[in-house]
Amino acid sequence: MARITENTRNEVKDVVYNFFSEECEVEKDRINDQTNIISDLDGDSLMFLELIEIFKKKYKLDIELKTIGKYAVKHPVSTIGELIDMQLLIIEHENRLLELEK
Amino acid sequence: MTQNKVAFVFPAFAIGYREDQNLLQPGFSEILKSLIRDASQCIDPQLDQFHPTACNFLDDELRNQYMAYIYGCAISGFLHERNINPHFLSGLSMGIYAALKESGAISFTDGLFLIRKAFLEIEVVTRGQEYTMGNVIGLNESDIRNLLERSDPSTQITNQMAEFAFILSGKRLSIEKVLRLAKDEGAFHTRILNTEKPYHSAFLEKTNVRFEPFVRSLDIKNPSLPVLSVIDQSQLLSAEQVVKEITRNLYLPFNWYQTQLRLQKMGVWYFYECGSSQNLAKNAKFISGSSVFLSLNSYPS
Repeated sequence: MARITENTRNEVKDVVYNFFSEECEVEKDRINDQTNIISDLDGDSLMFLELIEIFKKKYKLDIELKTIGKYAVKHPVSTIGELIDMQLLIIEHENRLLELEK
Repeated sequence: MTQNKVAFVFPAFAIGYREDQNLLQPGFSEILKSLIRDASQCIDPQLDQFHPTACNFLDDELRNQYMAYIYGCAISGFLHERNINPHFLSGLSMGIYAALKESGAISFTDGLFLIRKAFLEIEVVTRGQEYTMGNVIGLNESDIRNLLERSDPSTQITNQMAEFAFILSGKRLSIEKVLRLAKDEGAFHTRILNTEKPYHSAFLEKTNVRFEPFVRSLDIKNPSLPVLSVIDQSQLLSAEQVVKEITRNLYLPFNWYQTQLRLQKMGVWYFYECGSSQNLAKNAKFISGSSVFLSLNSYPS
């Protein structure tokens, strides 16, 4: 289980902001934690998947996509802030993510 | 192998158009308009009414295919004008016709006739039953096959787009059920596609009876460039291979993921998506390997 430090949080935030800024062609300073991914940025679930792949590589995560999918069904994400929180949980718990439910 | 080759790849359907295309790529509109005019004269006068937003035929399955074909041909012509020429070609699903036109195996008008004939034959064999297609992103093939066994084994995986992205074809109720099960299983994204036909599935095998003789009645030539089959990733080099590919393309599953990997192995570095949107370029992000995928909005001017 990885320990989430302030540094990790900042790193994740930076990756997420840069990613959506580039993908959605929006200035980075127009994105904040309350920005809605779909209604404000016209984002989609493929982008979410792409981000997961980025974090899987960056942090060498051992997690199956369907584990994240099952978690996401019960904990849907709509804002950038919620997405960052979920990515941090994924990094912290990897394949044990669903155990948080118990 | 040196990675310096170019492939033109052609999508099956249009999912949207940009109104500012000509601003992004000056000169493109003239080529497009000329082909639309030719197509409206030989196959469907309504095509002349095309407008990227006001009259784009996105909900008209046959005209959508005509327009995807016309766009594919227009874009490849536009690229030739800029001295960008392919080493390989490949067409996703009904994108095969534009790939074959680009290879010189069929004429522009025969491509339109093939689209219409295929569509009509598919209508005949699917009459009386509601079909559709759906996509599932986030599960692997074995997960999906398990779901199909539990729901309706007649539903087929008819295309793999990436390691975790699949397209299914089958009866509408079965597709809806499988997509629900897929969500429960942890799929990130599921969606019913905007079609009433089970393309590339065994449900369409009977199209063979009348479609193949029609294909054989056309003047089909040997391709001047290799066209990669999306069904088995072989290279289509002869007219006979082209005839067989056009025919079986309606009812056999294919694999875009393996096709793109194969092209990469053959030294393709630049993929030019010859379509109105960026679907294949977006999908390419989920396929490993270093290559550059360019769509109409990102072509060098």
